[in-house]
Amino acid sequence: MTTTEDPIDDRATQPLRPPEQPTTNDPGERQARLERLQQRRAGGAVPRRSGSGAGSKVVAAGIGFAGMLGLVAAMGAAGRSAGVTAALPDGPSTAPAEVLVVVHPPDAVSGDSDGSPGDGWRVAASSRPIALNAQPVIRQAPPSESPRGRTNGSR
Amino acid sequence: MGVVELHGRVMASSLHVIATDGEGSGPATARLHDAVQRAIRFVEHLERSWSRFIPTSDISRINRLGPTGGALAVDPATFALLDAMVDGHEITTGRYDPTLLRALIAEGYAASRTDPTMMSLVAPSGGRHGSLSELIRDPATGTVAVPPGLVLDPGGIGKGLAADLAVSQLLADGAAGAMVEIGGDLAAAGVPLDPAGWLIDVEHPDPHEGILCHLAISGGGVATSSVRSRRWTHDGTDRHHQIDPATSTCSTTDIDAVTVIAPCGWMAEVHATAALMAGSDGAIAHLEGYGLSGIAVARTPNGQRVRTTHDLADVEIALGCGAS
Repeated sequence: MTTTEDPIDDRATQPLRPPEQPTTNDPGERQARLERLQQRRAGGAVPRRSGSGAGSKVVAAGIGFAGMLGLVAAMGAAGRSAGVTAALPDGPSTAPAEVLVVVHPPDAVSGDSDGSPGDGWRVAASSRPIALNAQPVIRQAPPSESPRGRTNGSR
Repeated sequence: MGVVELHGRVMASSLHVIATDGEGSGPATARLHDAVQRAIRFVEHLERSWSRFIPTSDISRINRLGPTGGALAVDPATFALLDAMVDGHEITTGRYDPTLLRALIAEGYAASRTDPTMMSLVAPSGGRHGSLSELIRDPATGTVAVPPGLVLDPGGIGKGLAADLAVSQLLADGAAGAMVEIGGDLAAAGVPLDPAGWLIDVEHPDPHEGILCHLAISGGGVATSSVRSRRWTHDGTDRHHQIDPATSTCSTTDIDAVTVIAPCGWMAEVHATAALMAGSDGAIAHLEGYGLSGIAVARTPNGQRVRTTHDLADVEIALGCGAS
């Protein structure tokens, strides 16, 4: 096994705070923990889609990654009016939902991870919601000369 | 409409960007060209923050903390990655596990495939193996608190998430539609080039067999997990990069590859990995249980067999020679 001893980066080392509760195999506790995570990330301000379908779960997971980059995610019209915490999946998805992502704040700036100013990349500022498909529609592709993507296992 | 298409390399993988401006039939606007260049710089920035082979990346700094753990300041984008890792682990009930880097290194995947002089820098665990549930992210202070012994492998999910974020960046930058593919994981949103949708070729697990099927999607993310790619020989035996969380060794799944279509790229990636680990008996059930779509190619004594989620039952599948 190739491992390398390396001094801990002392640039930003701080005391470790108390850990969160460890993972549990209890579905009820897992759901409660997931809901707490979602509430914390959403700041309690982002309503969630109701329903017990799988779609509610995967969409709810989308809130997490979006929120941390200054991206705010919210559900589609049905979800926005529901305001109910997403449940763990217990069956197939029941209804499509739209995920709206707004990139902000306008003053958010990202540098390189070493703290340098970086290569000029900045988090985009936009007041325009970006719609991602929570439930993609898939069909057989027709013959076409249009540019296309490819998926494989990381070749 | 104006179109900008670009091929390149990033994250030790292929990069493919398509962006449309949705404006008439003329050439792409300068604004769209600029937006694509910014998106590429963005993805390069994500690689510098997330690569386990770059010593100054956030992930390398986390992986060097070792048995003491500690807190680090990280890039804003790294919070998105860590959130996706935690969420992916939770929603797949552990079938996707990004904390198995030591096992992956033990199987022989310690160096970058594009530059073997670049090695994963991982501190000894000291007998500690911190869990993701103990990883504390605090975007308010820009820091993460890493439990003792925790190491992270962003492979796979990092590419899917980078594709998601690059597409969002392109749309925020004025593109009417965008597709970004990194190492076979892709995300697409907005106005597609073809009226049928974003066209995606799903490759056969064995490269010489060509394309398994052709899909058109309205948007979202597509990812494939495979045991037929990123293979190497270690201690005289064939290895691959799919580590089974149950054994911490290379998975012995009977599935060669799983392709998943999901709302976004990182989600497709974690569920593709989880379905692969579930094996041919459980892969499709896993995907349908989450309302996702997918295709699994399994090995059988008589060759390969394809299973799809119900919604893809009518898609034409082209298996190669020796397949059933």
